[in-house]
Amino acid sequence: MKKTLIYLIFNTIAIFLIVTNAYAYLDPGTGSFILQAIIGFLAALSAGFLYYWTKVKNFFLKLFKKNNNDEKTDNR
Amino acid sequence: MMKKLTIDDGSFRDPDARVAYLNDSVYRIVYPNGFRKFELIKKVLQIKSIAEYLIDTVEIDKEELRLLELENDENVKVFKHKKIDYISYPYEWSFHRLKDAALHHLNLHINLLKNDATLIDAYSYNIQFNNYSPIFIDLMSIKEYSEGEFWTGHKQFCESFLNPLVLKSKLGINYNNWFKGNLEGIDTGELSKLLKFRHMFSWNIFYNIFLLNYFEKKYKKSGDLKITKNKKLKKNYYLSILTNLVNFIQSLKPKKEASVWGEYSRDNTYNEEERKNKYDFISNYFNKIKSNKVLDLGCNNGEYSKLALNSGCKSVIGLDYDLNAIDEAYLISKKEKLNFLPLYFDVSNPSSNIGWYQKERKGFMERLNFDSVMALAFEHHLAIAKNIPLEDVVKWITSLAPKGIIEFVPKNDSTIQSMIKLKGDIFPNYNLENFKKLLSNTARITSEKTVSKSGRTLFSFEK
Repeated sequence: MKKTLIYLIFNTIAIFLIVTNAYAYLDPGTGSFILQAIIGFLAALSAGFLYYWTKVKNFFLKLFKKNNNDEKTDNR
Repeated sequence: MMKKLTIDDGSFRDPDARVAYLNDSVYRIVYPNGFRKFELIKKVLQIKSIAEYLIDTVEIDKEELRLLELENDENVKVFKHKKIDYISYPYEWSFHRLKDAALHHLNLHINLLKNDATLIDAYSYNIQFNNYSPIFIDLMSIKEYSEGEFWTGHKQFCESFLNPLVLKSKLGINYNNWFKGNLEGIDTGELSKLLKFRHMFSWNIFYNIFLLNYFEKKYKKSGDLKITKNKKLKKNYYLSILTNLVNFIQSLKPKKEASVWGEYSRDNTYNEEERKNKYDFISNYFNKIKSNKVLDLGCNNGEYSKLALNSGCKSVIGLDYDLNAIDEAYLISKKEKLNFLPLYFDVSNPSSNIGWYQKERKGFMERLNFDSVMALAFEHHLAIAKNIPLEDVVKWITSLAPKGIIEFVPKNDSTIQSMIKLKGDIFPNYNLENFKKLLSNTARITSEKTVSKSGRTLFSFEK
């Protein structure tokens, strides 16, 4: 038990030291680190999803734009 | 006379280096703790896909180092940077300029990561503009990338780039004055209070604003960081966060409202002949003086700034308080590749010295370096609309540069008539004769010409 406690305390201090030494002049935001640690991987998933979503969206936008251009030419 | 090296007051945040000036040159003095980064920066400057994002930089030789007269010059390494013509700050940028700065920052970061380097922060003050081109100036932010590390600048990027853009784009609220008041940008907690439920459906807003705010609130102590123990951010996830932001920011557009001056250049009070008179006067003037750096007060979309450039001037800094007009001016300058830097500026409340010791970000008067000023259809916005005494207006304008042009707008002009419609005519001394007297009290009038039927008159002056 004692050993685990010492281990934990040592680790926490170590992490704290590493972070403050490297980025001493910037408050990186604890929340931002934890967000990246826990669900950073979601960014990659969403990138994949967004890629296809944009494709679908662009397809419809193009259709829409085409119609718009046609209208403009007609008006002229 | 030899001048002495002066240290930049705003460069204190990085203990490994300081920025200093001598004889119109900009130096970055790097101390031993920063030597490793110094070598890395030298290496990345050789990589073309990265160097094109960075300010032109060279390491100085021993001879030049001696000229700097540093106390301990054996123990420093020094870069020399190309000088930026006019320093501007993100709270003076219109939407599209801030957007381009954000994309510049992200793309640089992506290219660095691909070359095993990264950025330790993500501050919009690290970007400056050479007219329409963004340029990354804080080279000491570059460091080696180690596998699995987190994006330390994430929160800072959100506050100083993303949040202001989202504020304007999704809610139609201008960020400039809020940003200036906060210095660091728009706080994520405050922004998430303003955003609506429907905005959560955008992945990037959900992740970078709502979730970030949730985690920031929940985990405040550095001890909480033990959650991140043994956790790493894989490089491809890191790159995904950045590319997601690139795609998202690229898609952002300002939510537009009707602007007072946005339509000015198409909808002003001049007829064709009067406009030609004004054009001729200005064009003749600038062809004669060929100014290096013109200050255009109330530049609107830059119509007359462009005229000054076409008449032999090298560069124009334009200021206006109408953000729509400034944004349009920026887009025009970018499209036509003009040496023109339009910035947001409220003359009755100019950018002041702010930040630590009130020296970190300089005010407008501290940044004066113009050799001529142009104030067209401008003085009445101060003297009539803002009740600033005409004498002070004339004194102020003539203090900004040694020479220039001022246009006087008489009281019977329709713009002034609409200004005094409600508050009444409380300006008995506002007339051409008095204006001329006040101008000749502070400067020498070199030419004058009445250009419109209503009696608008242009003066050129010299001190």
